[in-house]
Amino acid sequence: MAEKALYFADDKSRRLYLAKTIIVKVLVYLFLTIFALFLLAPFVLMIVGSFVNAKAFDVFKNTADFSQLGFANWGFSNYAEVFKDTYVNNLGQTVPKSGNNFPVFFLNTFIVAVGSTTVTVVTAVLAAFAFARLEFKGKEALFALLLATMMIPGEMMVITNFTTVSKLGWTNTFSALIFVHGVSVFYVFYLRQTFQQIPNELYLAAKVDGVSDIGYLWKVMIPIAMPTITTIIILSMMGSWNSFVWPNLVANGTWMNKKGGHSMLLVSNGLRLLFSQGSENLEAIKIAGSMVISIPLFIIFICFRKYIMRGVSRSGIKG
Amino acid sequence: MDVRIENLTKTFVGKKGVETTAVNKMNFTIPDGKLVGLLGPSGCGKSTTLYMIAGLHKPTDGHIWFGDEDVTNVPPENRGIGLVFQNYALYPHLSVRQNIEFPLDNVRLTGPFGEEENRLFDAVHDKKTTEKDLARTKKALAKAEKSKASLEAKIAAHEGEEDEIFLAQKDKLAVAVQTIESSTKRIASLEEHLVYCDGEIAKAQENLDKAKAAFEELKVSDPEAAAKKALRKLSKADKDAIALEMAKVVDIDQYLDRKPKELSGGQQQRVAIARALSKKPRVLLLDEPLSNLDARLRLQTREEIKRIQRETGITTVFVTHDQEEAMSISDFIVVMKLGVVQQIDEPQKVYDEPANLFVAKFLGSPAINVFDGEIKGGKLLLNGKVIDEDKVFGKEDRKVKLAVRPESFDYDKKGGDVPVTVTSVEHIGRDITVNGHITDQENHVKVIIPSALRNEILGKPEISFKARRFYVFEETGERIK
Amino acid sequence: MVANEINMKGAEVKSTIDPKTVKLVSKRRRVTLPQWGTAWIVLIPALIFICLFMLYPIINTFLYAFIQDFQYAKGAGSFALGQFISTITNGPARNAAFGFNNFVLALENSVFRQSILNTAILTIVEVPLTIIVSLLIATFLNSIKVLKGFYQTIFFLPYVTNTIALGLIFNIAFSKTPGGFVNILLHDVFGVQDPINWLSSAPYKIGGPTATKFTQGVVLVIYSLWNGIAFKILVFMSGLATIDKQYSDAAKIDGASGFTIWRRITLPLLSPQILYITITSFIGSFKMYTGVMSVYQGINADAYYFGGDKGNDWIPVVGWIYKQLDADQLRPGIASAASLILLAIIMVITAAQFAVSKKRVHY
Repeated sequence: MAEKALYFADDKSRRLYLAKTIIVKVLVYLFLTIFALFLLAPFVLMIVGSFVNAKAFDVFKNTADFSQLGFANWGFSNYAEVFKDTYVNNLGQTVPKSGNNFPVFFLNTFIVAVGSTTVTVVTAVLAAFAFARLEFKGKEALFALLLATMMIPGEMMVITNFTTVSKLGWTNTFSALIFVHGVSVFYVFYLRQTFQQIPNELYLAAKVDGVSDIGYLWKVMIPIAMPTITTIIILSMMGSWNSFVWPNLVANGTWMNKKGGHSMLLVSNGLRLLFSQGSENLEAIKIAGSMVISIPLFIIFICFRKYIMRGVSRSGIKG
Repeated sequence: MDVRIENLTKTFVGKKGVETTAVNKMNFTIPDGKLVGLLGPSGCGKSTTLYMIAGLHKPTDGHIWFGDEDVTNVPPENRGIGLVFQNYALYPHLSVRQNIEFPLDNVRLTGPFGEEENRLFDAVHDKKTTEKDLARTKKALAKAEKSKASLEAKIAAHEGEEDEIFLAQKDKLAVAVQTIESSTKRIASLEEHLVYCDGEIAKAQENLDKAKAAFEELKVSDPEAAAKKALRKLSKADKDAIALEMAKVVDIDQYLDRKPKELSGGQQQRVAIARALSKKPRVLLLDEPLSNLDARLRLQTREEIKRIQRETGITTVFVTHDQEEAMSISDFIVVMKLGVVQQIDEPQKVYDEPANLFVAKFLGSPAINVFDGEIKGGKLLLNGKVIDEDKVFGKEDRKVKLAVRPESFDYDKKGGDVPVTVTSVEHIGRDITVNGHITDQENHVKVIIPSALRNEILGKPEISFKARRFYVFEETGERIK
Repeated sequence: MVANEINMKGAEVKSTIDPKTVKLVSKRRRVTLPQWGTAWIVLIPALIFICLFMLYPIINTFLYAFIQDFQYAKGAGSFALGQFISTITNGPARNAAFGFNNFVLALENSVFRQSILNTAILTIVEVPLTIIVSLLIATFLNSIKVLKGFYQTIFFLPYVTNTIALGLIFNIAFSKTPGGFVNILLHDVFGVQDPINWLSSAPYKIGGPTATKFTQGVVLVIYSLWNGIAFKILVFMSGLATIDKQYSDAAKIDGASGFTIWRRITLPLLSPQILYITITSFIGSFKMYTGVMSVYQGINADAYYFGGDKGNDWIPVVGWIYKQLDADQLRPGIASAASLILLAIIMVITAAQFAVSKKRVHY
């Protein structure tokens, strides 16, 4: 510990110092633990609520009777209910739910996540390559312009993009969800930094060996920058998974084709649909729905913690 | 194949339009199969020269010849060069084997007429580039002529008004005149080069036709041999064979499957050399190949480079700022200063007969001692005393610089002609180093004498040495012989 | 036969060349692009998206905001641009005019003014609170060794949590019923007898209390604290990691206490990160929408419900802007004007922060 480097006049002051350090340590851990509990509490509620059967949870809500939350009432019935497309109403009849289709939401979100991530990564890699490696007239000005767009609130763009999407006939299509955010200036910026750290000599060496600029990007720069690209892929996937406002504006309904309709909702919007069916779903079922869409993210977070935290903290260092 | 540098010039245009000349009208020839060191302090243009030989920098003027081929306009990958960088520039994500095989993706086995075809291709490319250059220069000339005419008219109209605007226009006129002059010169040289290109194309075409005819004959008589020679890509097995061979040459064949970061600096440097050699270059270029290594490895690796060069017999150019390094392994050294070649010769000759004061100072460690002397009546004087009665210099009386290498002093009990006030004496085993300054002068002196003379000199505040061998330079630096 | 051509399965292909003497030539590339050519080609995909979905919208927002079809007579300081355009283009007569009418319409709207006030209040409360808390947590986290990674992971969890899912949990936790978790906590720990109606405008039982603006505000602040500290802690941690331990060691030798070291050394050295976080938090907070909406979603499924009878109790600016794009009203002109007002507010605040920070930030 820290005291080993310090010199103490006598044993008493040494003990005093030790006591002080211990007390400070205890207080620090206490503070951290209290805040950790504060942050974890919603997750505890999420887990408990999703497993306790819906009726019992409802009773608990009105009576505060904790015995309702006992393990006796636990099970997977709420989860089953989330994935069912019918429900039993007050009269005991089995009625179809309106537009509740979690597998479709998952599939939609997966398509959008993969599609938009692909587009974003391709545009970011190519643009970052141009800015980091190539010389061309207007490079500085163009890059400054790009950085300037980072300052403008996205809300300003939403208004026009919303009308553009309807003019293009993209309302309720994957195109609206994939292409409108097809380029992320932040990722271009982030990748450019990584690319710039690759020594210039590698490029000259590749030149001598007859590798074209594009070949150099493909054979040397991308493999070297793979950790950063992985971070971008994960962050972009997570962004798609959590996106709500934009899909809610442009893809909140059904995509119609000759064969019939196809719900365009993503998980977040689907979850809201589940919430809005107040009479059809009890609260515990809504919690189970929240759980269903949160779990994939938590799994990804646990697997790629390093990449995610590095990417997110990087966005702070540039300040 | 020899490498010939002809009138090579490189000027960089800075951000504010200021031109800096990195290399100025350089001329030298590197004989076939020799190891040549480009030596000079940092910023002397030696790396720029190397990069121009590599084709990574385009010269502003002048030509580079590989044998009888002008490669000035040939892109780097078509020159047949291998380049090794100071920081090795190994691809960190590839294994040693993949690094060595990397250049082999873009090469082909020489077909029955592959070399001739390429020569023709390069000549045609050269012609195109020259034509473009010519057009550009002609445009610049036309523009300069036009501005000259208009400026002259303006100046004529305002003759006699010596205000700022008028002077500025005169300056502009001077620039325009200069541009016209240089453009005209360049156009002449480009046009001359075009003639060379046409000749080259004709020659290459002829050679190609000959080769094709020979191939046809060969094909009829021996189809198997013809097929064997066919221009083709290297198979994985071919690449592996070459990689192994190169790895053996540089003695890293046991590390082929490692990543560069798992190797030491010296080993990485060998991998870099193997990679540069794998595509069988005509010329090997090394940019400060030893400066990233520690002292012990540096000694070892420079022997290694010398060995590899001798074994492969490739014409090799290497750049260094370390005179000892250059001296120890080069067949020839080229000493440069501020973009101008100072001297080209064998290392020992450059050391023994420096062409000017800069070369004399730059070579040798500890550095050469320089004193203020003078010439009076054809005799060389130091502190008013004549040195070496036998030598007669020019008639004109003037101040000169006198330079003596530390080891060129002799100690004689009877005294010598160079009086030294001693400040300290260092003992380094074999030798003794006497530090001090010339009596009545500020110039520091280092004298190295055998340690056997220890007892003779110890405790003496002033010693007179005799200069066994000395050089005399003008105040401007030129050597007086 | 050329051995190289035989590539039977499993059979090792032998090289036919002699690696020592083989002659190689480099492949001549017929077409070589100059760097600027390659640059513009690889920039095309990004530029298409940027022009279509970023630059054009930004320009268009200005056009929308300043030019809209509205009655000329009503315009404030406007002139008949539409008339002008139709004259020079020989097109059909238009009513479009240039002016500040959209801004006037937006500012005349009491709900919009309300939304600016709401956003300002929440920002002023929540930004300093989250920054102080996350700074404390980051400092404490940085000072410990045992369980550091564990705590760090927990504190980062909110960042990867789905906002919509989280909002629902908050809504349930702050339920007005006796079984709402916060009410249980207040009852059991602090002895509060009657359950508090935090968010709902409908009473739990007849004659019971309805949510006030204050109770709703408390929930929103707690929510944003929960939601906002993860990123800030991470940024502060990465900032702390770059501070050389030498400084604090040197100070320790000089006999400085832990708090003094933190205040006199750590804090100034962390000031670039603090400035960055302050500015981005202010901007982010002024653009809040999803969070507020998600807290209310358990009460009213309307995406533009923000508490109270009319759903406007805590309406944020962005919420109001999106509401103008709702299918049944669709007023992009006013929405654009409002978003430009938002931009102006953000720019003024950012500029002010930069001005203040000039003296206090040590780069």
